[in-house]
Amino acid sequence: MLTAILIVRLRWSLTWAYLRKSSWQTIGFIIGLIFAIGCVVGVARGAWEIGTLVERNAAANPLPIMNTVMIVGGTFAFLLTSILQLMLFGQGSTLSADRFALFGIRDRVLQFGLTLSGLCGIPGITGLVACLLIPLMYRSYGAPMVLTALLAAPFIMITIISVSKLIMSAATSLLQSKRSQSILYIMIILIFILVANGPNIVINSFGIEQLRLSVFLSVATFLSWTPFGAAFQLPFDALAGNWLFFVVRIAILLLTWVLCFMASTWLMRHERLVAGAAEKVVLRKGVGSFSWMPDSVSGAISARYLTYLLRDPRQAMVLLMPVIFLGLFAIQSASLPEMVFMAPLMSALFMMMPESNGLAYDGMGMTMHVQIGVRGIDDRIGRVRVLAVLGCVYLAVIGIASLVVYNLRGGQFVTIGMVCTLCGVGVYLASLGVAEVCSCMFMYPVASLAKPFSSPQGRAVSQGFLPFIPMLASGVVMIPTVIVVIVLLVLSGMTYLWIAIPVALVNGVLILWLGVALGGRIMDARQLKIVATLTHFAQLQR
Amino acid sequence: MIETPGGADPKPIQGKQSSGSAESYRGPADGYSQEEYPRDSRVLENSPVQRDGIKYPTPNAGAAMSIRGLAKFYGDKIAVNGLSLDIPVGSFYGIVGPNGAGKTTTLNMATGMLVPDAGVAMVLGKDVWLHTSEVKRMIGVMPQPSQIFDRLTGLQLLLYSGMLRGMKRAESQQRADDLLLAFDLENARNLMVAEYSSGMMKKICLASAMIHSPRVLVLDEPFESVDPVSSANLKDILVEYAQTGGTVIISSHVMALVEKMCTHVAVIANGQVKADGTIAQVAAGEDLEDRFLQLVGGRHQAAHIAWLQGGGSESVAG
Repeated sequence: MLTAILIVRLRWSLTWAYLRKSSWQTIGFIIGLIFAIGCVVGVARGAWEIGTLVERNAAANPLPIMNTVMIVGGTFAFLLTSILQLMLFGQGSTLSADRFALFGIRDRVLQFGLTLSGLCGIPGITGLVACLLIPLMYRSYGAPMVLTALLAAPFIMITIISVSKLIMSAATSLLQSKRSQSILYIMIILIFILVANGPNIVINSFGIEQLRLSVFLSVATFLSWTPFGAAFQLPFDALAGNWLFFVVRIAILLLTWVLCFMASTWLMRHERLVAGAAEKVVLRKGVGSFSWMPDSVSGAISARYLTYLLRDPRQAMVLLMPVIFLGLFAIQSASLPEMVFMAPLMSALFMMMPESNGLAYDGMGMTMHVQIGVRGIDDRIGRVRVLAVLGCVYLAVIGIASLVVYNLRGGQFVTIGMVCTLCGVGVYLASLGVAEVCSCMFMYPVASLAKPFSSPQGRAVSQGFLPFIPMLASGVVMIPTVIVVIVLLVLSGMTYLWIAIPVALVNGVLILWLGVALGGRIMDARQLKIVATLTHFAQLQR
Repeated sequence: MIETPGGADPKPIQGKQSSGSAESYRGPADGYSQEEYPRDSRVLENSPVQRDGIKYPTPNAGAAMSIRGLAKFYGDKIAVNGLSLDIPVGSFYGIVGPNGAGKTTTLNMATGMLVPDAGVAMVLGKDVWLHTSEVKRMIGVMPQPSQIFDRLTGLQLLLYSGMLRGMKRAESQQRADDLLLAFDLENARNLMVAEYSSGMMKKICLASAMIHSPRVLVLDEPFESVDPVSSANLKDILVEYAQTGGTVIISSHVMALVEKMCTHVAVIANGQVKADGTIAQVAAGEDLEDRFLQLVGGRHQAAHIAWLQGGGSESVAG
């Protein structure tokens, strides 16, 4: 127990040390704290309002709805948190098992300490406080329900942390090869998007009129017997006096903790024993894209960039995003076929997210460029060559696919499809130009390529808001096109909307050209600062 | 022996020995010029060649690398303290010193990788901070293993390194093949560099710094982790390179290696040059390692730690 408490103290000592070291980290921490307080206040306010609503509508017996919403919603939040933990927060780089490898701490003690430190972090404390405020909504049902809801709060948090730790350990321990980790990373992102869009998909696939409470009730009953929903059912068992069910559900949760703990400990041992085991060596023939890219400095950068893009699961979003958007909007276009044309537009905006932090994804390799004295403009052109060609071709394919879906849905206004797709290309080019500037200025830590599930300090916070700077800027630089579209719609409806196509393309190409030129200059001016920042990020990744 | 700046027993400014504190900054001109310089000249411009009121002695334009009054501060700590040094063309120059002496910081400032707070650095007659890109193209700096694109194969990395320096693809590929052969990496040419061992990684880093046949090679701990056979092969390549007029500058902790390979050496401690010259001049008739210990100090009697016993006493239980 003493060792476990020491690990918790170590966690906080490290956090304070990072805050003292960097004002940037302090700002991130404060933003995180504000976000956490916001979450707690939001839950408190929401729970209070729901409680009031329930009190007012007591006659309508809102209990079954509340019960269903709590279990289905709770399970949804549970799964989302676990996936988010894996995707965004990752294995904390400050406290991972391998950091303690030299101290000979027993696996069980270490695992307990790490789980405890997970519970005692800001997200853990925020979650616990938020769960402790949920009983506000049950206040009209009397003390037993409120008290059991208070009791359920730590059960919810400990279960979430235990399951998250297990998923994390499994992801990092069992998948030793870079290839399998990459595949899992991509799958996790896909699952996250599907889970996050679950309600949308359900409503649009079946039609809201076909959805009945009874369906959800059955689902909720099932979920209440799983570790994900059991804790949320406890207050309702207490209210109904189902003490046997109450005890069984507590047993399910306790068993989950024990199993998660045992499995995580086993995985820790497994990782220790297989650490350093030789991975199957993959030989690659020839020089790949280096053989056909232009024979120049920027051509070399293009070749290197393309090679990396195909080997980097963290940037696989660039390749996956349009397909995901097409799928999602195709499902959602059941009632409004034009909806499918959002796919190329949204893809255009989101595909640039990794590139707006592209230098951080490249990591310390950038140092080599600076040592050699590579000009910023060559670097920018090299990257843009790959992304512009790849993006335009991809968007065209997505545009054609959207048109096919649109026709299948019975749509008749093909012009809209053309306008959305080609304006999407304009938006894409403009956002690429913006990204080439932003990536030299607004960098934030990312997981290392070797450990895509790891989480450097400050990543989650800065990843929460910095990507929106280039997205916002992309919107701003496309204002001329937006104005033209509005004017055309007001004056002529759909008749002359096609004029927006050349306007958007010219707008996009112009911003791209400006972005490359400006980005190159900024890169030259800031190259040593960029290297220093990347070095700092690399230290955070260790 | 050439005693530089101030020799092995530097005269302290403001009555303090140089111990790494901000007050002990020695200024730019020690040992090289009679010109006055501000005693507390910590306020220095970003570009060392455009300083208010600080006149730096003229660097030696005929040297492969010439440094005058180079300084770097990190808060109150002085990493490099008015360091001056000349590295002759065609020399195999070793820069030695204890940990934290300022070797890497000095080399970073002299190769355009770190902006100095004061001083001038010149490579082959070109001011590093006025002609940064030009200087970088003339020299080859060995990147650290963490500073390369390790998801490329060995062949791709060398090809990339050559093309980044403006070489044509065909020539880069030809040279990459030669280097892979010379560095015993032929079998790993199509293997991702991330999968290389530490020694192989060092070798590919060194090869990537040499592909454009630079006139000056700057290598930070080049033989660390490299096996003896590969190390011997590398040494042969480097010695031959120096014999054909190239200049090799290495930083190292390993005295035996420096004594065996280098023609010249500079001993650095506390951000200053304690002594420099040919190996014979610096060694002054003694063993180089003994001379090094004399110059940098810090040796003391082995302390007796009562509880530190290899056997007998009980260790702390986990």
